Amino acid sequence: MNKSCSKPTIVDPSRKSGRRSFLRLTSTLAGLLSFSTIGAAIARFCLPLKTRQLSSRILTLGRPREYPPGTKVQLQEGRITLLSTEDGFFAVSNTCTHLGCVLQPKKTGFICTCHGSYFNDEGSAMRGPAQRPLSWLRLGCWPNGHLYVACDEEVNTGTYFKA
Amino acid sequence: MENEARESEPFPERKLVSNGSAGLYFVILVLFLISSGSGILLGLYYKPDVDEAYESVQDIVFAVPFGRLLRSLHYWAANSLIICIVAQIALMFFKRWHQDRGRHGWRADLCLAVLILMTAYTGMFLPFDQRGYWGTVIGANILRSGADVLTSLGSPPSLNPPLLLQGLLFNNNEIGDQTLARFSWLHFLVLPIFLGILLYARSKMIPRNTAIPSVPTTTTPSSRWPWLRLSPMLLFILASLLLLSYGFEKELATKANPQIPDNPIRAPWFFRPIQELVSHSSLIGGMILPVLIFIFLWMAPWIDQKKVARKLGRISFLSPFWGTLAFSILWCLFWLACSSFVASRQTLDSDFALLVAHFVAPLPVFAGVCLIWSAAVGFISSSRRSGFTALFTCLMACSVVMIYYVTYHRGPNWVFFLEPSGWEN
Repeated sequence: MNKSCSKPTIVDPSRKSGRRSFLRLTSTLAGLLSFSTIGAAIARFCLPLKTRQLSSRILTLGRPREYPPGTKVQLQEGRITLLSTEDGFFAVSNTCTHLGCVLQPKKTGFICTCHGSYFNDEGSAMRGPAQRPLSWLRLGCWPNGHLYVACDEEVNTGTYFKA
Repeated sequence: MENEARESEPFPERKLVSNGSAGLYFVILVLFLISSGSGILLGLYYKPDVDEAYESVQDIVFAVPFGRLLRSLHYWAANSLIICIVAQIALMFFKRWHQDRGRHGWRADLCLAVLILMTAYTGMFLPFDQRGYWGTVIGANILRSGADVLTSLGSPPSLNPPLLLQGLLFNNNEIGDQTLARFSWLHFLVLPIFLGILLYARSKMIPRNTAIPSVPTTTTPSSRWPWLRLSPMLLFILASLLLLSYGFEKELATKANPQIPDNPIRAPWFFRPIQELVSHSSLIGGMILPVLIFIFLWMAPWIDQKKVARKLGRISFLSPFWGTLAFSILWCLFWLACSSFVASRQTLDSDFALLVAHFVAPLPVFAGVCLIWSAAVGFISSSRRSGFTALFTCLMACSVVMIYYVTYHRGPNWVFFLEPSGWEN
């Protein structure tokens, strides 16, 4: 055997070898980075796609005089109610603010059959578990005199529409 | 600490410590196999599509030979599975099998319970009937209510666990095709695989020296074919489930109607406590309390250790089990009556009873009194174990009372009725 061949150096575990620790560190970091990238990609894959509506769904109704004060009309398969009062028109969403059931209209107000929340005609939560009021939706008038309701646009509570 | 304890205890006695947590384990395993088998067969005809799901289940029930029986079998096996896992958890707690060496088995059982409930929840949506549809809408909104609180506290959407979970499970705010696709995928494949892995792992957590059939030991000749000895039990379970599904067939409910929920709409029995809690407050009842209960159960073996438990004296009327059982049933009924009384009135009058009811009705008061009672039991008997027994008993008893209350006293519009005949006429 050639004696000039370098002897295997005994690595002292307490002594930190610069190259080894550097390699260990970089490989750990690279592994973490690649796994977290894959994980993030998987997470992003699983989360839903955002569907953004470019324009609000508009529902065209009849002329204002077809709804005299005191009428209460169910629209959109019962998901919106149009009310006509002395102060003007307003439309309230009929989705319960508690857990999303569709409300059933009563003579005055709306009741949730799922957990018993009760809202008055203006959409304020009167009793039951619901806390927030029902949202009011934007009403408008086409040039030809027909009312419309923008199903996805909320307005402040108490914004009556006068035709 | 641990080494000292091990040394102080003589070895043979240690070996004889029996942990019978495997008794029900085998039943759970068999029920899992039966529900998987019947589920695989049902999947041959089921179509996970919003327009066709209900009709395909109708086909299974009315057209396919033995389809109705198979669907009932699936239903009864799944229900028994839930009963068994709850019984297993209760047994482990009361027999103290969750302490020390049993803690891994206990935590595996908790995970099993969560997975089984998730499987039941996703399965509920598959036939696309009224209960499944509205249950899913409400579940999505419960997560939403948790997400809203975090958002109002200023957490970005990417660091909002309820919101992420909602996106992951339901895919969208609108419950429809995408939700059905995810739920069927979870119910058919993802959750059963996790359940299978966990059940296998659970069998490894049973202490060796227990007199249980599922872990083969080579000492006695009769245990050479342990599974053979189990076959009578397997046959017995299968036969009783078949009889049950023949006698009590699972009816097909009406098709989901996204415009009008059923009135009243009741969750399946195992979700009724949550339904009752949620009808008081969606955030506390649907998010905070379940999470706290899970944390309490998870930490139980850690806090409630043998070494800590000691008895100094006991006052008989505060017996951790029987005293708490009586107290929690009475308190739960009283609280439900108070909250129903408040809900039935629209305005507050000066009536003293109503005033009391208003102070008693909120959900934190309900949970708080249970906690205070358990703390008192633990303090008076100066045993941490007694306090934990009281809290666990409270949890179980209140769940049963709430299941009873929702079933017999909640009528249309979620109004209180004294008896079920009250709302029929």
